[in-house]
Amino acid sequence: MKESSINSWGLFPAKAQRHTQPAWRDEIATLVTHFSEQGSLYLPHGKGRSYGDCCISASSDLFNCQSLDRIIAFDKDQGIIVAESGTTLEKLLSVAIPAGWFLPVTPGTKYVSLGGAVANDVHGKNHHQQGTIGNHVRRFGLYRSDLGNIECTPQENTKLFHSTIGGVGLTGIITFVELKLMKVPSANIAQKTLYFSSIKDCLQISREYDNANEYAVAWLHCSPDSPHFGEGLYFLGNHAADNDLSVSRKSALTLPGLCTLPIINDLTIKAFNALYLQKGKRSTGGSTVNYDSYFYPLDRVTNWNILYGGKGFRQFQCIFPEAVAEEATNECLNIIQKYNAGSFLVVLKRCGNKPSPGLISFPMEGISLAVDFSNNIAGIDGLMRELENIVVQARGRVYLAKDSSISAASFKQFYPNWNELEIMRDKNIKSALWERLASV
Amino acid sequence: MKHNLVIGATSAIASEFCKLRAKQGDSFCLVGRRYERLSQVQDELIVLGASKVELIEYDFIHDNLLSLISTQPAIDVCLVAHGSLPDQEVCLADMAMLNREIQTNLTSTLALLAQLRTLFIKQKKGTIAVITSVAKDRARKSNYFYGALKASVGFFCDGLRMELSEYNVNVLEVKPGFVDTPMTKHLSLPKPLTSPPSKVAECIDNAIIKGRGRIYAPFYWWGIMLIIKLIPSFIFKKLNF
Repeated sequence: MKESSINSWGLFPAKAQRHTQPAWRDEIATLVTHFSEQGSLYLPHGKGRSYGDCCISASSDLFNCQSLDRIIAFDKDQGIIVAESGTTLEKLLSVAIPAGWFLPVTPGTKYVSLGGAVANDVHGKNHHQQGTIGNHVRRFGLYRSDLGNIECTPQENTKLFHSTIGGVGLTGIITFVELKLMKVPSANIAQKTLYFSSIKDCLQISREYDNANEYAVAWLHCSPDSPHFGEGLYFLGNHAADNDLSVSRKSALTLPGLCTLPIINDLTIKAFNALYLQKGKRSTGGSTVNYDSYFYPLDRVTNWNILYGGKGFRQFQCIFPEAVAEEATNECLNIIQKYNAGSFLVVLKRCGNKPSPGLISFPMEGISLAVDFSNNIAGIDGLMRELENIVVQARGRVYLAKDSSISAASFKQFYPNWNELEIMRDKNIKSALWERLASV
Repeated sequence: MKHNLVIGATSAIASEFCKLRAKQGDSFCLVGRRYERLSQVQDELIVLGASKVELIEYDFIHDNLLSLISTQPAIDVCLVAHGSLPDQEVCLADMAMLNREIQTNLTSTLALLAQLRTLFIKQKKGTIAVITSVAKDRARKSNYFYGALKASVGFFCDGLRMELSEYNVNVLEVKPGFVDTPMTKHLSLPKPLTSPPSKVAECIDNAIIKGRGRIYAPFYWWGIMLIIKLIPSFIFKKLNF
């Protein structure tokens, strides 16, 4: 059993956790019984890539599934892969790509576990085409302290199937997942970059181009005292036609964990944003890049989160309904400017109307905004509160996988089905997030 | 395309070794105590590209491995990877535990090597790779029991290497340093010196291809152990590790 106080991606909140980490699925029963006998709460845990406290236990015990990372089966003709829940998306891709398949949905990093991806019902740059990962889950195994080992499909243990997808680990330990992959002609992405000068322009590009492209996302320049604040780059992408199915062999750099100084700060953010925008403007037009560069640019540095320094950082990710999206997004930018809160990673994404099978799912038809903020920003709590209020008024939602600060009242408005998830929760499982937001 | 006999195939290092070789289309015979776990390893190897994977459930007590593998094709590599990390305090107080650990880590291993010797002399080709540990290089207060068992296995390998070289068979002894596996999960190992099992598997694969006799895995442990071995006793006995 290992102890760690770095348990989520934002390095915040820092709460000491003990990791119980089985190496085989047949060890789960004994370990869960042990927790039950002690009357201890625990929380299933994957790679800990959620930003806030949804992957931190309400007690101090994490049920770490990272060693349950075996591929169980792969039907190369149908593109159906079955793997233990601790398997990373990276590992799935390494097996799927050479056979001509790709993840139907991928978040911005490949270093998340399959179980974690399902528990957060992740979405990606192609939400407008493919929905969330929940839309591609056929079956999964779940271990509950009251029911033992069960399997969930849309027809079997239906309520648990729906409440586990996006259920942030609360309904039980996901043991394996069966996923339907997407057939692709190439692992390379033919991308096109467009420049926009305002949110209005950005949304116009989105309305014009998204439906004709598999992948679409926008990056926003967010240094408040720059004349380019609010300009940005729109990235469209499709799998290339070049039949290149090679798995990326790019080596990733791991920074030494010694430095707790915030390398990402006002100055570096300003410099980065200026350079990135200029580079993007110069290379508008088309190019072909490999999937690793297109989907996972930040994965080149495996622990880039430490660049924010010892205090860590947070991400504010919300979604606005289509009708109010432009106004609400501009309001958010105004608040960000008011707090002089610069960020190097601001992403806008149009989400489509494909409903998720998950009871609690973040995307809705509208525009998602994601902004990383260093915890060193003066008045960060006030900033997050004001942004939260905009989402409340716009009747949007905040993404639980990134959150560590919204109020219980806001949460209950964002996710009116929360009570049903509480009913389906395995009573021995609780996260710090659920304790904060759903205590009755 | 090679055929690999892997003993203790459910161990972390052995599984990683098999995964590496599966991608090249190798075939395998996996030997272990728990059939259910062996078949999980088998499932993954098949997905990764193994041409054939057979399973043998073996208790490591009845010494009948040769008869169990009598129908196997010629073995290119036999990896002996089974073992456990004994709790020294417990073993030195409880004779039943002591004997159990000696059986697991020493007796069964020498019995296996003796049987493999017969097979490989007949084959006149291939490699027997045995995992010992850096712990065998010098006795330490905290794990001299484990070190003694591994040192004995290593000594046997040295002799076997000399004998089998006349039959064109190589014996490789692998000495891993700190490795992040279920066996060491309860220990607080220094992160910069701890390797993933996949790294050790890579070292084993490279050493087999190069026909090496003894390796540290990864290589930098050669330097660390050289220093450890050179520390004079009057200083070493005062160190608490």
